[in-house]
Amino acid sequence: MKQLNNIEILAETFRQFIDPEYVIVDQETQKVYECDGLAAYTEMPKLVVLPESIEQVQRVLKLCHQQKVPVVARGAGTSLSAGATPHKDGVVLSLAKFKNILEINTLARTARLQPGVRNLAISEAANEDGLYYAPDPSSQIACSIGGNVAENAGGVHCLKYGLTVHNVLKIQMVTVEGELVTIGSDGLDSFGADMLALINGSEGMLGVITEITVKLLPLPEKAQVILAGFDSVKTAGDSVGAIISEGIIPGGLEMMDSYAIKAAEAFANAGYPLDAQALLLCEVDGTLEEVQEHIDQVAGLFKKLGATSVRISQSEAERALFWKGRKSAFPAVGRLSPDYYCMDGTIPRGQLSHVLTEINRMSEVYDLRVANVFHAGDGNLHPLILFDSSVPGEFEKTEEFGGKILELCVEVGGCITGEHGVGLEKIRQMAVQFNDLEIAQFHGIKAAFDANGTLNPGKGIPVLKRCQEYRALRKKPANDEVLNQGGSAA
Amino acid sequence: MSDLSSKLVDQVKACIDNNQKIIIEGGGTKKALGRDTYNTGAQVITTKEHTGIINYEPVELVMTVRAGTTLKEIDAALAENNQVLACDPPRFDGNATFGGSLAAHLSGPSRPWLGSIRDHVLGVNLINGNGEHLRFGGKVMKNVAGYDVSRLQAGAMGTLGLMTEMSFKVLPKLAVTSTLRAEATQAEAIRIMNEFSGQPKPLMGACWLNNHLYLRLSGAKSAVEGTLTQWHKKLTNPKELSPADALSFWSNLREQRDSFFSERDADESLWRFSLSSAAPVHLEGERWLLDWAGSQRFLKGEFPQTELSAWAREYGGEVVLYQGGDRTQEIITEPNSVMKTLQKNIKHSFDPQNIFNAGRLYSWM
Repeated sequence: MKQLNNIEILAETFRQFIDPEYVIVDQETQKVYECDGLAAYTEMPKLVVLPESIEQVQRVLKLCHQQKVPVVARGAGTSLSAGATPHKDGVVLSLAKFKNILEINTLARTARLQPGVRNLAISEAANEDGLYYAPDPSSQIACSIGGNVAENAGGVHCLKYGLTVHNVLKIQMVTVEGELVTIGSDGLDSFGADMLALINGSEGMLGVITEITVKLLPLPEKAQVILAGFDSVKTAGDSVGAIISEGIIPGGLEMMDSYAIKAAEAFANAGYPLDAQALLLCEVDGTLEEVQEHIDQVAGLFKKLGATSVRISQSEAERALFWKGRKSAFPAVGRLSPDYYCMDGTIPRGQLSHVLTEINRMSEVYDLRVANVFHAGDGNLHPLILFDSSVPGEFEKTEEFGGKILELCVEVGGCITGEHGVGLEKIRQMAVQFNDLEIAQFHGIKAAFDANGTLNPGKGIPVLKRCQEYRALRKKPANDEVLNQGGSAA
Repeated sequence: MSDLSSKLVDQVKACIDNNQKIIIEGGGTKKALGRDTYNTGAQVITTKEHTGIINYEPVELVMTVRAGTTLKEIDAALAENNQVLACDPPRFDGNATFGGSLAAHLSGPSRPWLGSIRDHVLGVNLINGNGEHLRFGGKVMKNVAGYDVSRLQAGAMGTLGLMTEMSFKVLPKLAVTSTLRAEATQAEAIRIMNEFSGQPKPLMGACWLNNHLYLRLSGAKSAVEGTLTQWHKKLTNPKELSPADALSFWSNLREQRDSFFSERDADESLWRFSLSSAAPVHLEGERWLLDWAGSQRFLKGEFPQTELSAWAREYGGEVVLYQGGDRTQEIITEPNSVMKTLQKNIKHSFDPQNIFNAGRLYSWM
């Protein structure tokens, strides 16, 4: 990749069609772009640019493509995987000015959005028509819909309502060459291979998204939450399976371990049972009749399975309070430690006890505390490792511990990221989840969109040489056996 | 139940070595879809014998099967645990396979509410055009590592490789189902289907055919009964179908064996529109069937493709010559040059020699 040796010329060209105030070259103003939500990874870009129109985005991309300059698209910068960290030789293309809700079609139940629209703003705008946008990542107050698509964001309600990929109908995107394309439609499917699915979760590596059409759902008539304490993680885990076996798919089903319970309770005063080893929050939504029927069923089931306490929210205020503890669990845990590192693996639910036991064992080995918050319904684990970055070597130790947790997730049949994305953070562990041939196929897909590899380079998909080095470093053989006789793995 | 993946890899490799084009077949129930490529000298490779449920853990709501496993076999295994597929593709007389269902990406009437097979597939193993047997996705509900190759296969009609194995989400069976039939013009039906879809009610099917609107409710008993009472008042001459009649209506619709489909000359064109559910009535008086609350529409008869396509585009969608007509020609209007290049590039990344189902989607790919 060619070094950008004359950045001023590029900046001057941008200034001819973009408000010069938004072509940022000075390091002081650029500083806020040096990292995303995973602040341990920082890099200063050469240039930051904030276009205001699609045509400007096209021209920026066309010029960067001609000069082979890396481009990192950026939404609200809330990524937890260093997916939006700048490239040292490149341009940060911020979509912060694309903040408009273009259309809400009440009859067809769709919203057409610019990529910088905040996740929560969609539901706020749709609520008056009795509609909402279902995926609700914990960062929903700040994160943007463009970033949600790039990361295929989840949230506490995705067990029942799906991830971003299940709720997006159509994407308008600018290719690396600066061409505008539309992928998907206002219908529910499109002819040919599902390119829409490919763009969801592609971490800004296949194109720059400039418009998104999402599905809106009717607001449920009613939602109620059951808060149940358990004296062991295993009993709580078994209860999750039991609810699903009863034929109930809750709107949300979350678990916290004792450490997370204590931290969240100290922060939110939500009335969490402090003596419990595990807590389940089970939200049931639907029609009035259905919620009544299911709430009784779930409460009965929890009691039968040995819950030490069961409380049912009696008002909207109480429901919000029950959720407040969970939704503020990350910062609450953060109060107990100078820094925390949030992991994001997914496991088959049946492996929960085993995985938590192993995490606790490793916690002792690394001498780092861990609190666990878990999207229990769909097996997505968020261990929060507490550390102090001012202690030399402690972040590196934390990162290694985090990596081991992800590798454990793969070993038990899970994966290294459920909803945060790979970014820079988990790029080494990609070599554990995929073999070289699979990674080569990913590079082939990347090249189909971006032959020079200038869109968000260095993220998501590791170069093969790095995979081999990483596997060699690991003592245990990697989970990379080639299926049958497909070829030889490294 | 047998694992023939090694044999399939060998067959594909032999074809690659001889630059021999391949037609992939499963249960053979979707030969009428896509462009006709049977007279091109391509060799048929079948996954029909590559069958079996490899893993099923009811409490995890996940199943893994070989590509040739029929939906019928999967339904039977799920029923033992009071579970069902999380979506409802056509079974085609029990011969439709899971692999073929994913490749063709067809969905039954519950599509707008339950999603499609693409929404519920979690992982896919496939043999690409280099003869490499690869594994993508996984067996867990949430997985964003790498590009979503599994869902990319939906609708690809086997053009990106030969799928050997797939994992997918399943669901508990819904407790109660009930169906209302009412009189409605097409315009009234479009309005009602969309308005009702915007209400928090357990709607699970909304279709218009022969001047009748059909609404299916599925869910908790209390929710279905409560909604029936409310909606009765808002419809013209509503009637609750008997469970047998309701079952037969919705399964005939899903299987595309309703008289709308069966009473068609083999050559007559059947057009399928995928577009905004709120698109208004078009070509009034022609033979239409509206499903998915209006976002999937079928039209029978001979019409200029470009005109149908222009109308579909106006409502954010597209039209395909679904069955009948001249299937050696393009069955959809050509995408613009950028999309065409992207599609060709993706195809090339999986299948550099263009051996898998060449020409099935477009003459040029």
